[in-house]
Amino acid sequence: MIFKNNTKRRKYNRSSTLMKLSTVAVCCMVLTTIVSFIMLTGRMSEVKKLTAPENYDTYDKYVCMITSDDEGQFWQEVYQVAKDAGKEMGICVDMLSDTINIQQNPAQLLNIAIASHPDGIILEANSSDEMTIMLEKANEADIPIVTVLSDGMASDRISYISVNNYTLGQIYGSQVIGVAEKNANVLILTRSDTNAIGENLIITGIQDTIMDSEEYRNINITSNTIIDDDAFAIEESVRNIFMHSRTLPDVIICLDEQITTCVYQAMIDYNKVGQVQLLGYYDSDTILEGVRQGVIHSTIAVDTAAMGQDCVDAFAEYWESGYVSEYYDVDAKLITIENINSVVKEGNNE
Amino acid sequence: MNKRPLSNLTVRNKMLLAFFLPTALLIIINLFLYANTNRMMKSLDTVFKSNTTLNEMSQALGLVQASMTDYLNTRTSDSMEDYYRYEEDYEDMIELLNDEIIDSDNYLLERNIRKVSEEYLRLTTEIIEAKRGGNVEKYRGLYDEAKNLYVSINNMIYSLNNEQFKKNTVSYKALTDTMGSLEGINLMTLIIIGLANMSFIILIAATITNPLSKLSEAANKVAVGDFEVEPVPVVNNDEIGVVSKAFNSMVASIDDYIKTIKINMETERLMKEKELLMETHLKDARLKYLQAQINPHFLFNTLNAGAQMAMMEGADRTNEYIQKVADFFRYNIKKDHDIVTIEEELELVETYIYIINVRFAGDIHFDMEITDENLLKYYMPSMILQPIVENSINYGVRNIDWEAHIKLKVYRMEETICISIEDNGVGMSEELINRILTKDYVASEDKVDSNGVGLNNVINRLELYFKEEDIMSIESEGEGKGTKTVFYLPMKEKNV
Repeated sequence: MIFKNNTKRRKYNRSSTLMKLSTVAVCCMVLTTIVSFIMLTGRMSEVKKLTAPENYDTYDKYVCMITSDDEGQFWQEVYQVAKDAGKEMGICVDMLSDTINIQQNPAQLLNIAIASHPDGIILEANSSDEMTIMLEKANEADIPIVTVLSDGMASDRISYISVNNYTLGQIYGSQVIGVAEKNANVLILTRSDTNAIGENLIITGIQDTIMDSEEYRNINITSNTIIDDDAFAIEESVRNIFMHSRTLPDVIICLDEQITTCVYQAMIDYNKVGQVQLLGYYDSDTILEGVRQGVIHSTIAVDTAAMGQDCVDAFAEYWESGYVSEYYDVDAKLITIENINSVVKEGNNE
Repeated sequence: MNKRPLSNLTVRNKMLLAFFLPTALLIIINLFLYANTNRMMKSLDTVFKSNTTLNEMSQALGLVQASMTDYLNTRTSDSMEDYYRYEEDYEDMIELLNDEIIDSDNYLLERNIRKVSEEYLRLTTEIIEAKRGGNVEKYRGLYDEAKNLYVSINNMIYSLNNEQFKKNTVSYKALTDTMGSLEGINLMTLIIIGLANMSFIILIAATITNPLSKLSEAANKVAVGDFEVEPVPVVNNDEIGVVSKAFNSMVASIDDYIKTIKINMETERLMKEKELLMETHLKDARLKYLQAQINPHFLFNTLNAGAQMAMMEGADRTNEYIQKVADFFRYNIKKDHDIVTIEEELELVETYIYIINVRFAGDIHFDMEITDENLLKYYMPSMILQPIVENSINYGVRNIDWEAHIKLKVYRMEETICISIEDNGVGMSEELINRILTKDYVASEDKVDSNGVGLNNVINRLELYFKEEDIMSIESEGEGKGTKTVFYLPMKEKNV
């Protein structure tokens, strides 16, 4: 009897297991359908998000920004600060060259800017004829212009934002006295599309500082303007200087970020570290690394954040009151191997 | 609440579930997939629409510039008409571009294209007017300006086209990736549901066929007569479960029925056996009687004729004697005379004693004592008492020197009717009594004056009729002390 009962129970259990497995199979089908639904819905919502129109903020004012080296770190920093500051004030700051793939010179960009009727233009002006014509055109179109770092000859700009170039020259001059011999050759490298007046003031500041020191009056100062009309022209010009070592100066003062970077790399490539003293411009990561390595003796960093903020503030004040200060002074700092860490830390904290 | 809902499904519903559930699920998934794929195909169609629009815009701009230049070169009305047509087309196109200041590079570029294009169209219109007015200096100066803007607009459209293309390519890739994912999910779903469905069908089929196999196995056993089969297990409440339950009940009923039939048959067989035995004994008694009496009918008729003759001659005693002899034989040849009342049996004994006394000149003194007349109405087999009385005469009192007495007594002892036949003859030895009672004694067949019914026959018929043993006792105190035969008969109505 016990055997019979066990057999019966076993058979019953077998049937029961079949029913349980059938139920599991049904549940599996239903679950798969639900999971598929969830997965499909998930994928579809992702696509929906992707293809949905993006939401952007709209602004009341539109300001175009045009500089000589839009892709350089210096101008990108100024642009970002101006853009962020503008957002808070309802001003849309747009670096025109960022959105136009084909390379255009500042005068061509200014022409486009004028035709697109912005509420204002932030411009690193120069004294070229083309630029002068465009500035006149902008005046005719009643577009207010704020020049930054360098000013145009015929510009009827509403404000000019820059470091004091003469002071900048004095800083460079005192650095030259610190590193050069009494009859050393000093070469000042400038860029063709930058402001000649500003550069002249810097050079004057350097010369005045050196002349003030009777010991270093014999220092020979020459300046070389690199014509930036072709692609890679700056780099090639810098290489040419180093290829002829007989005319290689003892001190090179660079008044441009890109020129500083090119000279720094050329000094390493041509093994001229220690032989040539480099006084740079701007505090990009590469330049700061050069200072740390001792390749670059010192560099002067312009306060890009203040510059960007001042650009937007100038327009805001102008639109609000109809008047604005003609000149905004921006601080400049000397960075050497001695103070580099404290300056960088300070910058990061800001 | 039912814990096993599938167990309660009928076979029809199980099959419907097996077919419709996966089909319904697959239809739902595929409909959903179809709707989404359709939507995505539409999205894919529109992904590069912005690029197409920009290309058309660039072409339209080229046509404006070309038609203007053509007019400046040729001053034909056709070229002027072309210019105005293309200018209008282009104007319609740029009106679709964004006009607001929005924090997006592409939207800002769109705005700039629109504004610069408006400026360009203003210039070209001015150029056409100057040309028509013959103001050569003006249109030449403006032409250069317009050409510069034309180049700039083209550059801007090219740039925007590039950016849109990059963005659209990302969207396109995402859409095609999603299409791939949808395909993958669908395939995976199809495979899983397919496998689950196959398993489900196999399992459901097993739940249908397994009980059927067991049922058929059990039915085959029953078919060969094995009703001791285990009940078929009933797990599901479907049609097969119902049939299995019915089968189990049927097998149980058949088994019970067969057992009852067997018992009845056995009882019937035993009864028939008894009946046949009774009949055999009776027939045996009659046969022996008939063999002894030659032809009772002939004898009976003859005796009747003798009686009539004695009566006519005035021989009354002879007449009475012949009448008694005739009665004696009549008793034996009566049909349906197997069972008689005690009274009839006693009458036969009296008749027999009368005949014997005539034969042996009244030597035998017969006494009959009945304590309760009611006892005479009860029934017993016929031809029982007469053979005993005959034995008492033949073996007990025939050859004795003293006066022969035979005493028959009917009395009641509780629920038993006692009939005792006592003689004062030669008596019987204990050994002989035992042999008679154990049916070991066989009387000699050649007794001429016996009616042929032996003691064994008497005892057997009594036991068969009353279904009891020890129905008769024989007592004898020794040689010359007589014999007493007592019947202990249960009170029995006829046919009960």
